[in-house]
Amino acid sequence: MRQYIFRRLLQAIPTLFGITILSYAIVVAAPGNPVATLAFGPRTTQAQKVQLAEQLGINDPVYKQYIRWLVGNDWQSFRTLDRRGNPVRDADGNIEYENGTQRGILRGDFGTSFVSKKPAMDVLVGKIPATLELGGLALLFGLGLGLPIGVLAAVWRGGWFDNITRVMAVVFNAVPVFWLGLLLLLIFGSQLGWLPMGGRYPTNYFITGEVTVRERVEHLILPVAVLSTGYVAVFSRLMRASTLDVLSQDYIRTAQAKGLRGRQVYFVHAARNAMIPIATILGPAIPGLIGGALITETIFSWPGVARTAFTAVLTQDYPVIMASVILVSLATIIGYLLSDILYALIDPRIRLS
Amino acid sequence: MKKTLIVLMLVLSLVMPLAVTQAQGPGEGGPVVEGNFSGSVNIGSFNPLRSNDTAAGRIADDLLFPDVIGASPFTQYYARVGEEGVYGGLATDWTVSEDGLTYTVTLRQDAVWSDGTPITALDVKFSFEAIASGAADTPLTGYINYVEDGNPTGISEVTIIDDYTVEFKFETAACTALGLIGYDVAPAHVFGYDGSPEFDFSIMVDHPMDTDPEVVFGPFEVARFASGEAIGLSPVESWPEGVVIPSGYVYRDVPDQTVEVEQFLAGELNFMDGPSVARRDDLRADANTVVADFPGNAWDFMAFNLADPDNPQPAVDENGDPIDQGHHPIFGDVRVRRALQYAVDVEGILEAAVFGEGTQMAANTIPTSWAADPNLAPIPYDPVKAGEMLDEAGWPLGDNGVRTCQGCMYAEEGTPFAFELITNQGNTRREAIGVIIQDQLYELGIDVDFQAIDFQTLIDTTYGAQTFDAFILGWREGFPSDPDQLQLFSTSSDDPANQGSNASSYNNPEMIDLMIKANTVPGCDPQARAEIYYEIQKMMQEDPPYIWLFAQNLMYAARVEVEGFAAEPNLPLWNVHAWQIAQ
Repeated sequence: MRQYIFRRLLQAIPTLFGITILSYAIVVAAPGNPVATLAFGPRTTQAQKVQLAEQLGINDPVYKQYIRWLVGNDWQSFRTLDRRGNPVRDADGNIEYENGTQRGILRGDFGTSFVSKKPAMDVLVGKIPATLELGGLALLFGLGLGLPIGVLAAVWRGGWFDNITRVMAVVFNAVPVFWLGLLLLLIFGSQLGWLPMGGRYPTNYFITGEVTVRERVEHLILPVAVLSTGYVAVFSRLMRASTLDVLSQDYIRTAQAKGLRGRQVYFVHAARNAMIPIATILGPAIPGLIGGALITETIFSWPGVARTAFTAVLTQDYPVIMASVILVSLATIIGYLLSDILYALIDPRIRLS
Repeated sequence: MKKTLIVLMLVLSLVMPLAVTQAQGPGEGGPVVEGNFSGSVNIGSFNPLRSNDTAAGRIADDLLFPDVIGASPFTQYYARVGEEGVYGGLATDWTVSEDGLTYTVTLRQDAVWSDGTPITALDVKFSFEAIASGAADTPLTGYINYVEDGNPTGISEVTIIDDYTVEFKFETAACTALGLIGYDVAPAHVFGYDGSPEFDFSIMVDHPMDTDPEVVFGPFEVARFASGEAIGLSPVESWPEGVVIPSGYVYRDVPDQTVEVEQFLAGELNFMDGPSVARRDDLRADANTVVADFPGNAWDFMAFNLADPDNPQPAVDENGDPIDQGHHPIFGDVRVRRALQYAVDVEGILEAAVFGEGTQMAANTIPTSWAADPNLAPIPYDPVKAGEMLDEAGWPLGDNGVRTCQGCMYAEEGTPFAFELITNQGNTRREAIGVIIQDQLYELGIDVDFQAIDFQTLIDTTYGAQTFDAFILGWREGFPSDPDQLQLFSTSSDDPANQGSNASSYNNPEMIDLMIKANTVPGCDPQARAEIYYEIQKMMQEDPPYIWLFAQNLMYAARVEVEGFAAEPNLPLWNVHAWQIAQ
């Protein structure tokens, strides 16, 4: 097993490089540049724009920018510039040089956000708790509701429960998240006033630092409900199909013949084996947890990773975009690896080699 | 009688508590809660010298740090401390030398940072030197002295005369100087600045001041900052302008203007700056909302390309000598540009695109500016006149209903009057403007190919490549707004390689001379300057680089429970410390 994991991790390295090269090329090839966004104004002088472009290093060829992002520029010397952008000279008239300060992603430096001026990875890592809170709860809710629904729909195949849940699954899969989110906001936030209309914390928390469990739960209900509808729909359909397969097998008939109660047959004996296919989609759900909640995070002003990455795309904040690509790529690789491992753990017939 | 008296007393005892509003003490009011829909609340830095994003503008500039010179909500111009309602400034007085190159500013002596340290001339000098050093990673470099095409702009030197007197030197006399002097002031002692010329300003980069400023000068101080979600401020105990009544100020993220209005109506927000134009009538009609409307300082325009779009060139070479830029086949002729001003129904656009929430521009100066000519009327919609003018310019209507060149000035004979009009995708207001202009010009026999494209591509095509025919975009004036627009229309700004602001390649030496003259009036008397700007505005109607569309109206809205809300244009929070909010 250890050998397998080690080999998979080694294989992931070229994959990751490939992803970074493609992503970097796409980001840089996008029309415009960050200077247009950061320095767009009637009073901005040409000199300011030129200086900003130099500061950001976006005038260099793409391959140079990529290499600098990869290995840093602290091994390079640059001319020291004065306040007007002219080279600084020493007493003998020689141009002064200074070393760059970037260490590159290979040494853990993802660069500094063009917009917030903070380390790019710090910008994203600070958002992970909020994203995991929302995504994790939605996943749990999706599993907790979707799996039993799937089992029961299979047991009562063709009955009213099966028909209703099948229709509901199709509806929740088809309904756009932004529409459902806005609808729930209007009904439960604006019209009924039962639940807050966005944010992770109540207003007073930002002044006093105090928040009750009830307030936290109230802020979670709508975004978790919206995000989990898709999970419930997918898991219930998958679990139904999988359970139907299992229910036709001999060992289930044996269990029934032994006189075991239905609940024990379906939820212990059948569900256990029926869950094996679920493991295959749990792994890929991990990157989904980090990057897949963009619309929900935006509608509910949830301060998560996906929304931060999206804002970075709009402002062409290259370091944050690339940091988010790395983060989601790593999550994807680890997610699929975990999926394989989980599969082997659940199904003893599978051996990783 | 006795019974009547008892009944009367009982009624009075019930009514009196409702009739008399209990005055609130320091921090006893509810918090001010405002929404921010311009992207996630992600302030670049609380240090006012290191950020100029939307959140920094509202929180750091308006509520936490002073400017060298404040502004009056009532005159909408720079004002001295002590004048009515003056907001955010340190200067109690200033004088200008005869040559206009030296400004001497006297600072108030009662201002102290929240840790008790007096605010002095050292803080003012520190803030300038930090910007000028190039080491503090600041976006405010426009304040320092750049030399462009032989024209120095900005402050060249700041000298401390005494603890409360500062001298600002310029290399060129310009009336825009007050705007440059009005920069934000940060506390020097927090960074250990002692006035030494050797001081290393790079200490300001990644300093705790960026995320958790403990020393401020404003009605509030930072309580909690959750990036992407909200900034919470708590009231300070001592504020020289008066007692701070609100228990705090929370600047919350909202996803868009639609949700912002809904949150406001539901009571989750109690103050809004610039609500959705589609919902403004709803807000006016809402019994729980108080609104304040004003013409704004952001304006939209349709720009023409006057130069040859197939061979874009800068206006001048490295030596400042003019370069032949050719002529746009259609818009190179001023008669055509003049005619199109009459062909566009701006009032109709206003109604259709922004629900009437705008004010038509007469020329290049926003209607609220002290330099806007009150006697200059906007160009009226007159399609008949426009048609006649186009006929005279050699663009008569053809049999196929499209105008073609027949003796026009720059296009080949038989060329149809067709051009591409572009704007930025996603801006629904400008997209609507483009569609309406397309329809209106079609009626005149003009074929407009209107396209909404990605913002970055738009900027590259217009200010960058200058390969466009016409585009719709907007500018937002600063505050206090100065009417100087040399940066927009000078030949030195007509430079595709550096995305200069004069994308139209507008070249009007007489206008440039007037702009320079207006900006160098001895003593900078606003009335004397305004007279010159009136001339410029007339000129901009006669020889237009743009079709002047409209300034979007401002609206500030507060919930009815916010007592004391008295917003003025650009300074809605000038008395925020006195707002009483029932909880």
